[in-house]
Amino acid sequence: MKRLAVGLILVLFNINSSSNSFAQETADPPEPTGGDKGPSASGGDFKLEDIQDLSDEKVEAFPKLPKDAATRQRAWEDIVVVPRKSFLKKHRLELAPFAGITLNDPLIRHYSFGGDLNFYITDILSIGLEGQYFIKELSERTSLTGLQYYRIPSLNKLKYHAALAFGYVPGYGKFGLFNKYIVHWDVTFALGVGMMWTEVIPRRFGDAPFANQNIAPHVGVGARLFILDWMTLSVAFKDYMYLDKFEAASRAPGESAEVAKASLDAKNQFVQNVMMFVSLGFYVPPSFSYKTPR
Amino acid sequence: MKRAVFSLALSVFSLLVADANAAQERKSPLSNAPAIRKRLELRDQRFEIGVGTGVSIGQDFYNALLVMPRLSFHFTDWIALGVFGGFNVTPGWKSTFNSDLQGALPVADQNDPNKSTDAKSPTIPQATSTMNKIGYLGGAQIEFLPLAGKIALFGEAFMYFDLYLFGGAGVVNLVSKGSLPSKCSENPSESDKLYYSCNAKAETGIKPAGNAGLGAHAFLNNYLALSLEIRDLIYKNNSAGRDVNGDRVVDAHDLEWTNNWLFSVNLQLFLPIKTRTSR
Repeated sequence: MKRLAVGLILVLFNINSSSNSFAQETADPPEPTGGDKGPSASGGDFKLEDIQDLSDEKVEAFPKLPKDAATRQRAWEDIVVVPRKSFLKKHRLELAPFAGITLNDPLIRHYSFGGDLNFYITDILSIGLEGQYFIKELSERTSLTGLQYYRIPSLNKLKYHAALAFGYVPGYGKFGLFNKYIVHWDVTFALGVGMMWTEVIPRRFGDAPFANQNIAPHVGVGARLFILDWMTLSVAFKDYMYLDKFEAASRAPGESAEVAKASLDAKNQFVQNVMMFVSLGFYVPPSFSYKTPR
Repeated sequence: MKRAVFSLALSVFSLLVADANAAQERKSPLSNAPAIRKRLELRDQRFEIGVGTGVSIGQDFYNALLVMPRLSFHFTDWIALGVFGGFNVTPGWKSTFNSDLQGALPVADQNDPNKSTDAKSPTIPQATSTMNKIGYLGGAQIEFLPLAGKIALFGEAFMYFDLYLFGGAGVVNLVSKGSLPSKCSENPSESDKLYYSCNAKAETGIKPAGNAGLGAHAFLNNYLALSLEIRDLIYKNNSAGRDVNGDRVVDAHDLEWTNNWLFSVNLQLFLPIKTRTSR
């Protein structure tokens, strides 16, 4: 019997304590905004009598608990929310596989697959390595040039690229998606120098191609969305600049690759390859902690 | 013992029920709040009007630098209707491919400058007379702006911006320079057709086009914004004005759907000048 009584007391206590804690949370009145009737919560006008002698008039002076929709809206209006930067990069390593496409050549398109490995020295500065492999696709304009003009364009295909790159984050921002969700993002600049491996596409079937290794600086700009504490999604545009050597129009049939490359008629031409990339960034360590108080 | 177990179970059950009730009733005061409060309503019920410059990307023969005016009205913060135009101010701007091609075309016959020395390849004037380029363009578009926010640049300058998608319809006026040799209109022989490159016809005139793209506003203040847009104008074209399908005749069957990319930067004025602030 005693045990049952103890059990019932426990039940009553549980229910009571949980409703008490709920009451404490909701009973906090919103801080009065404006007006001169309500007592100040922290100002010099606050008097102990305000609480000790709660006459009807003084009770009226306190803001009422939110009951209808209008008062509920006042509750959120009175709360100041300043979200912190949602993602910190300092001293983290980013591994970012990417896919890209060339944009500015009407004759030959390249698809690129590769990766970036970046270390963030600070939250806005990074140093890293970049590597990519290209797959070529000749456009319809290339074949039409043969049909319409009886000419075959001199084309080089991209093979590989590797570079040392520096990253800088000049801007950090927030989006409101339909004013409902907040999405954090930043702007990225890239500056690097590397090597671009290219290879001529011989105009004459059976001729041997020759390869070029070109020093290729690049600049880039991009945007990065922060998806998770350890993952980002980026879009970037980069311009790779290099001096490339093309097959000479006067190349003799069967001429070896070495002779063709050494030919004085082989044309050196400055090339700009503008590319667009989409990448996923994975960060190590996968989490971070804030060093400053909220 | 049974009573003890029973009372314990009752106690746990009551705890669970009480917590569940509390969780149901406990609701954050921020649950109904919009993501951004006291926001400047930079778009809602405002016009934007401005002018800028656009450049074509990846055109076959002629690039275009365009003067591009644009007018939009924002019905709400996230939807707008706009009209735009573009006028090519660089009709002679050859693409690199065009320059390379012209460097490889045969010279004209010494006795007849309208005649090629190669039966299969046109001379430069013959080839360029049927290459087309953008003259002007225009269209209307629905703009959908799901993303709006602000950005801190260099930790100093703060700027409001938004991103939008747009789609609509328009027209593109294609023009060409020069004409085919007069020999082509004089009932030429089969041989003359080849040497005078008569089997060609410039594709010119006003073409209906689809219009889709992506844009962004970067607000310099409450009423001035830089607007960046990348748009694809999709229309049927035969930019070389020469045989495409290999039937040795240039006609409507040689027209193909083409993607024509334009990147533009505009300075847009938002009206009325005064902005409202949301709750």
